[in-house]
Amino acid sequence: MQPSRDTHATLIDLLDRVLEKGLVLNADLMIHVAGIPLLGVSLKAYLAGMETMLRYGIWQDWDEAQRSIAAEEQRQKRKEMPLAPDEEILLKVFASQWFGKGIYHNWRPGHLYITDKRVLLFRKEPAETLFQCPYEEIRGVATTGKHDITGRETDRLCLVLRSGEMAELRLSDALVVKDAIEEQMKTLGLEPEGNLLFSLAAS
Amino acid sequence: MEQEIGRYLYGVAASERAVRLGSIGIEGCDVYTIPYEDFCAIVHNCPTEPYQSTDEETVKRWVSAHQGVLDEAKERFGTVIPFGFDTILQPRDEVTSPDQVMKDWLKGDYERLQTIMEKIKDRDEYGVQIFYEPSLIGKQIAEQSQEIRKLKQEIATKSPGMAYIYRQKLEKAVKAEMEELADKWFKDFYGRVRHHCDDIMVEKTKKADRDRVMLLNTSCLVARQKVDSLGEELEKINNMEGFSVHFSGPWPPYSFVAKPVLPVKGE
Repeated sequence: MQPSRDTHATLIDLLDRVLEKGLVLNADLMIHVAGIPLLGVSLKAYLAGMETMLRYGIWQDWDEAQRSIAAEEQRQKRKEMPLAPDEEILLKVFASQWFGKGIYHNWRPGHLYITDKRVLLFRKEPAETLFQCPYEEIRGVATTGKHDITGRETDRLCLVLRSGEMAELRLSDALVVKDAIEEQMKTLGLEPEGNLLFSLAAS
Repeated sequence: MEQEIGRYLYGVAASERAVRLGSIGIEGCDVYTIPYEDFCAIVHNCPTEPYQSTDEETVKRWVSAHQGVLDEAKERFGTVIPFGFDTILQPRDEVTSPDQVMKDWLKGDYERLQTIMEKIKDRDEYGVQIFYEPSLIGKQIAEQSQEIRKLKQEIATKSPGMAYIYRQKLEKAVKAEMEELADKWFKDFYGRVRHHCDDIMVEKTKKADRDRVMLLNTSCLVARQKVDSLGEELEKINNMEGFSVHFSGPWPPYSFVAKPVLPVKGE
């Protein structure tokens, strides 16, 4: 077996030796920084990753990463609703939307905002826009009552979109919300389709 | 221009010559020797500021240059006493030249340097690290140990819950066996490596990569004619199933110049 000097592992061998060993001069002959003879400890600490970081108690990288995550969370918390500058909220109710993706199916709760420009379901924590749709893309609105798993009847609000998709929301005052949406659509010169309930019930 | 009144000291060689080694130093500095009698200091001129950086590549470059100078000095002068990184001699006063300060130091430490030189003459340092692979060794243990074989057979007859507890028992048994073996290997390997060295330092073991555990970490002072026999010994260990060896060098004897080299006579 031949000794080697050119691999990565060998570089660490070299750093260990040059930075930590070798003959030492009498302290009074040597240059000091703030009274501490320099034997490369500060240099070494930056080199060999976690193990050395732990050994010298330097957690700088880890600390920075944690701080940036915390800062991001703070920013998210403070995040305002993503409204346009001139957008006006007309109505706000608690609602949840049926969400299915892959094997995940669930009601995702948030606040439903009826603004002068769109319908928006926004969750504050963690901040996310769960659903949004401008009035131009809405074909019509229907309400229906369904029994949920507790046997209680809850209101459902179905937004039928021009794309053919349908958003199903669970909320307490579906009729009020339906009226508010249709009202605003008319204000914008849009014609909400009626009688969607039958086609929904049939499907 | 900045005053370069500090002297960065790479090492000390047994030569009375004042020579220039060229721009091979850290950051391309001119390296030369300052002799006193039959010793010379290998230096470059620098400001009285240590080299400091938080940039990994920069530090690696500096350390490589430091090592490169010692390699060149070894080529020319044979054996060199290496100094650690950032060993910078400060000027004494306005009237004494920095080179004179260096000469005075060589004079003052002459006997100490002689003792060290005697010890490391015609010898080099090698790093020897021996690793084992717990997964492979664990398998071997499981095949050999009767207690473990018995435990394994029992697991097969147990309910899933009990089997889980038995598996933990089994793991513990394998671990205990491995620790006992590691002790034996350590003594065995240490003895075999030591046999080829003039001196040996056992270093702290370090965390190795995922599948390997460092069993033995040593710095070895080896006479130049004995390197081949050490290599052969390590080859044997490296060929053992479940073991591997990292063999680095030759290095200047960094690990063997700082500690007391000889017992004080007459005590």
